[in-house]
Amino acid sequence: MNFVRSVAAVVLISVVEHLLSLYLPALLYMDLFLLYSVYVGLIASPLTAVYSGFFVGAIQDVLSGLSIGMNGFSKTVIGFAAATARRYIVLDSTWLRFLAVLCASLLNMAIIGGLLYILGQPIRADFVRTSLIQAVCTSLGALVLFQVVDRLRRGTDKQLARPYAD
Amino acid sequence: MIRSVLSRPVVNLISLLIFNIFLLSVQLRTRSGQSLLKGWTLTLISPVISSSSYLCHQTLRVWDDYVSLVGTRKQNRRLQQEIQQLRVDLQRLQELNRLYLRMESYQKFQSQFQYQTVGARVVGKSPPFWKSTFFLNIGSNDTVRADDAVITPLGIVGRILSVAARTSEVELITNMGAAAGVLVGESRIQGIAQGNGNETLSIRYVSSQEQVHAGDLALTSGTDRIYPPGLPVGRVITAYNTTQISKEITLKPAVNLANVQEVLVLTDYRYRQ
Repeated sequence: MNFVRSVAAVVLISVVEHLLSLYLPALLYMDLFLLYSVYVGLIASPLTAVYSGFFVGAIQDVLSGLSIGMNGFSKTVIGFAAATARRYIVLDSTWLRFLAVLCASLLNMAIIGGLLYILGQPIRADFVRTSLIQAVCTSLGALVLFQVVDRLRRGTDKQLARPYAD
Repeated sequence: MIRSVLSRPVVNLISLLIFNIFLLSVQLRTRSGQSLLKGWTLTLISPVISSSSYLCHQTLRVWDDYVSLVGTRKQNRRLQQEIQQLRVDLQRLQELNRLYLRMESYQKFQSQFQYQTVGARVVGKSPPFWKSTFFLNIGSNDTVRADDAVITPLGIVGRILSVAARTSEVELITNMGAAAGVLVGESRIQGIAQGNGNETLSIRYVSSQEQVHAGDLALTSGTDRIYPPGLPVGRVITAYNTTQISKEITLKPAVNLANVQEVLVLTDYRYRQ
C-alpha cells in the first residue's frame, strides 16, 4: 500500500512538474522532488527514504534533462539525511521542517554543484543564485505542502484505520 | 561498532550513490570528449598497466644486463683480439698501399731515368750521433759496387760506402765529410755540397759576389763522377756573405733522410764515365 502511494505521489509530482514547466515555469523554483525526498525521510525508515530519493531523483533527472544520477545522487543523500536527522531531532514543528528543507535545498545545491565540478561539467554562472532562490522557494513551499500532505495522510490513515477501530 | 555503522540503510545508501556515479559516468563526457567511464577505467587500469610494463621492462633489463652477459667476457676477449688483428691488418694494408705508391713513383722514375738502377730497401740505420749511414738489402750479388750513387725520385741520398754479398752500407749526403758537386740557383753557380753531420748541408766555394737566395734549388753537377747531373740535392735555407771570399750557404736536403725507406742504386753510371 505504501509502495502504491509512493508511486502515485511520484507520478503526481512528475505530472505537476510537467504542467508547471508548461504553464507556470516560475513555480519550478519550488523543487517538489526535493520536498518529496525530505518528507519521506521524515515519515519513513532510512531505507525507504534512500530508495525513494534515488527513484525520485532519477525521474527528476529525466524530466529536467540533467544526466541521470545527478539528482538521484543528491536526493538519495537528502532522503537518508532527513531520515537520520529525524532519529535525533523531533521535526514535527513547521518551522523546523522549514529549516530542514532549507538545509536540504542547500545540501542539494552543494551536491549537484560539487558533482558538476568534480565531473568536469560546465556550471552556469547563475547557478548559486538560482539555487538559493530555489532553496527559499522550496522551503516556503514546504510550509504549505507539508501541512496539506500531513492532513491528507491523517485523513487517509483514519479512513483506513476505521474498519479496524470499529 | 562496524556493524552498527554499516547498517542496512547505510549499505544501501552507499550502493545507490555508487550506482548514481556509475550512471553519470556512462552518460557524461570530459571536456576533451572522452567518456567519463572510459576515463575512470583507464585511470584505474593505468597503474596496473604501467606497473606490469615497468616490471616487464625491468625483468628484460635484468635479463639483458646480467643473465645474457654470461658469455660476454669471453665474447669481449674474442672481439678485442679481432680488433687487434684488424688493426694490424689495417696497418699492413696501409703500409702496402704506401709502398705501392712509392714503388709506382720509383718505377716511373726508373723508366724515365737514363741510367740503370736497382731498387733497394733500407734494412738498418746507424746511430745518428756517430755516423749518418744506413744499410740496404742488396749487395755485390746485385751488381752494387762501392761509390755507386743512391738516390730517390726526390733527389740524392748518398753513396755506397761498403758492399757485402747481400748488404751494402750507404753514406748519407749529410754525413760529415760526404760531398757532391752542385749547381745552385737560376744562374747555376757551381759549388760543393758537404754534409754537416746533422740534417743540413753546406755549399762551399761559392764566391761572395754570386747571387744566391734562400729557396734556391741545388742540383747535382756531375763533376764528382758519383752522382749524375741534374738530380736535386736540396734547397738553400740561408745564404750570406762572410769576411771570407766565399759565401756561407746552408742547404736542406731534398730527400727527408730520416724517413727514407726505399732507394734506387745507380749501378752503371760510374762505368759509363
